[in-house]
Order: sequence, then structure tokens, then C-alpha cells
Amino acid sequence: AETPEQQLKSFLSSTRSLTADFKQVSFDQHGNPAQTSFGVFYLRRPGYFRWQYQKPFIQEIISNQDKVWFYDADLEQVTIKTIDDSLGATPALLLSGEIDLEESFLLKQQGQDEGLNWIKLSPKNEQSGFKYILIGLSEGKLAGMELSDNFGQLTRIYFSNLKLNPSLTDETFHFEVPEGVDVFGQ
Amino acid sequence: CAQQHIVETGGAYQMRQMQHWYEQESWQFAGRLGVVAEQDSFSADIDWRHERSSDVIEMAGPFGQGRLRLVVTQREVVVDDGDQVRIYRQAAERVMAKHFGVEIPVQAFRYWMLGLVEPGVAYQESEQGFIQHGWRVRYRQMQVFGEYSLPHKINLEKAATKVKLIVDQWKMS
Repeated sequence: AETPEQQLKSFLSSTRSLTADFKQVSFDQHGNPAQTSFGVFYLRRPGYFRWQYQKPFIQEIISNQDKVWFYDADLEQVTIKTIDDSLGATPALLLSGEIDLEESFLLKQQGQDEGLNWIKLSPKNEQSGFKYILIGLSEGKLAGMELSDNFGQLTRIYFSNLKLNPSLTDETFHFEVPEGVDVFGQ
Repeated sequence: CAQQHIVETGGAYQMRQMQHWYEQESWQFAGRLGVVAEQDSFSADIDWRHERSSDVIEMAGPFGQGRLRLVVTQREVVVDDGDQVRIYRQAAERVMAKHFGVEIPVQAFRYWMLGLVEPGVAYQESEQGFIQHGWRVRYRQMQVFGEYSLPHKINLEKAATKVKLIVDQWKMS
């Protein structure tokens, strides 16, 4: 049978696009759940992704090729950054196929947890702003992600209702700036 | 379980209704901060814990990326980014300006967050708030907190800089 690493590579190479519901749980430094949010994740390779947070707050992280848009409805603010200096783009960037896994990450099997097969990806370049990313597979498909920040605080993302290779138009990754919102962008 | 943020919006801002918060020695809030300045703009989750002799301010971007922890005391400001700890003997304002490109009067900011003017410093009342230290402070939304109210959405503006703070959860000890 394929090792989890091979499953991840074949999943990424056979997945041109995907949509999934996600639940994101961030843990505080004592390991207790600090905040839970929910939304929809869109991906179209290469280079397009969208985290559409719906609860508890309306927020968006959208990448279309070289720019990443960060939007928060309550803050009435859109910040546009280039991909490389935008924090938080890295997790999805990994999936959006801009980079070849082996070139940028060391892959290591982590075994089973919460019913998923986890693979640890440690960035080869130091300044990537995070220590590692774990990807969880279920039956060879993306089911989970875990990130640790520089303080070791974890964020876990659980994907469900996965749709593989749907046709996603540019519209999906286009962000219409609402009226009266502060926009700042490079 | 994870806290649910049900914010019951209070009425309009009334300065005189906020006076008792001057006695509040320690408090904490979790929320979101948006900064729009000439050279940079960012939004981040923010957690601020105030005690009598220190303030612990933690900010992080999406997925906790770029988390930064500042401990501000009378004598120094400690900035910890998880890899490196730097200690500054300068005023907190200068350290904040260095890290976030915005020079906010931290001492006054502690009062502004509770809907209060900094005592002993001149101010002018204005719509939905006041002007102090050259900053226009506007309480765009208040939230109910027990029998009192506390700010939910605060806007601070000075020249070309705009700071927006949303307090999703207050904790009063």
C-alpha cells in the first residue's frame, strides 16, 4: 500500500481544485481550545485559494496568483499583501501547488491521531514563520491540517464535505470590496 | 468549551456612565485590531491583559502566524516573537511604533479601551467620544456588561492613521 507521504503526493497531483467545509480550532499555550471558527475552503491549482470564514466572524483570506487579500467585515478592512510577505498564506500555499513538496519541506510520517494519518512537513527555509505543518489524510484524501506558531500554540483545521476537482471560476477567487471598507494594498 | 462571543450591543456611549471603571485595577479582553497607516496596514487578533503594574499584549495573524507577545511595565518593554526576546528601556509608544508603525499613547490607550479619558490630561468631548492626545476616539458600538456597559467597537484616528479595535470578549476580575 502507498505510504502516507506517497498518498499525499498523489492526492496533490490528482487534485486540480477542491472545496471543503472547515472547522478551525486554535489552542492556547495550555492546550485548551481558545477559539473555534467555521467556514468554506476553496482551492484551484496553481495559486488560487480562499478561506471564507463564516462563524463567529465574517473574514476572508483569498489568494489569486501573487496577491493575498485579508478581509475582516467587523473591522471593515481589506489588506492586500504579496504572497511572500503575507503571514498565514503558507498553509494554503502548500496545497495550491505553487511549490514542489520535497523542494521546500522535509516529509515525515507521524502516525494516526483522531482517525487520520498525519504527515509532518518541516520547512527547509528557516524564515517561513512557522516550525512545521501537519497534514492529516483520511483514505488518502485531505482531512486535517495542524499548524504550530512560534510559541508552540496549535491551530487545527478539520475538513469535511470534500468535493474534488469541481470547476471553480475566477469569480470564486475574486474579492469585491464592500462599500466604506478601508483598503490598503501593495 | 471555546467561548461563544454573544455581544449584546449597549446604547450610545455616555462618558459619565463609564466612571466606575476607573476603579477597575485589572481587566482583560480578546478581540481584533485593525491598523491603517500611511506606510503599512494590518489586522490581527489581539489579547490584552492589564494588571496594576503590567500589561501583557499578544497579537497574532491568521492561524496564529507571526504571534508577538509584549510585556509592558514601568521600567521596560519585553517583546517576544517566540524565537527571540528583546528588552527595550524605551517608552512603550516608541517600541509599538517600531513594531507596528503606529505610535499610540499606551498609557492613555489603557483608559480609552474602558471608555475613559486619561485622568489629568486635557480632552475635548466630541461625537461618540472625545479627543485626547490629538487622537479622536469614537465608540461606535457599546456592549452590555452586567449592569454596566463597555466598548465593543472603538475607532481611533489621528492624521492619516486609523486604528480600529473590536472587543469580542471582556473579562473583569
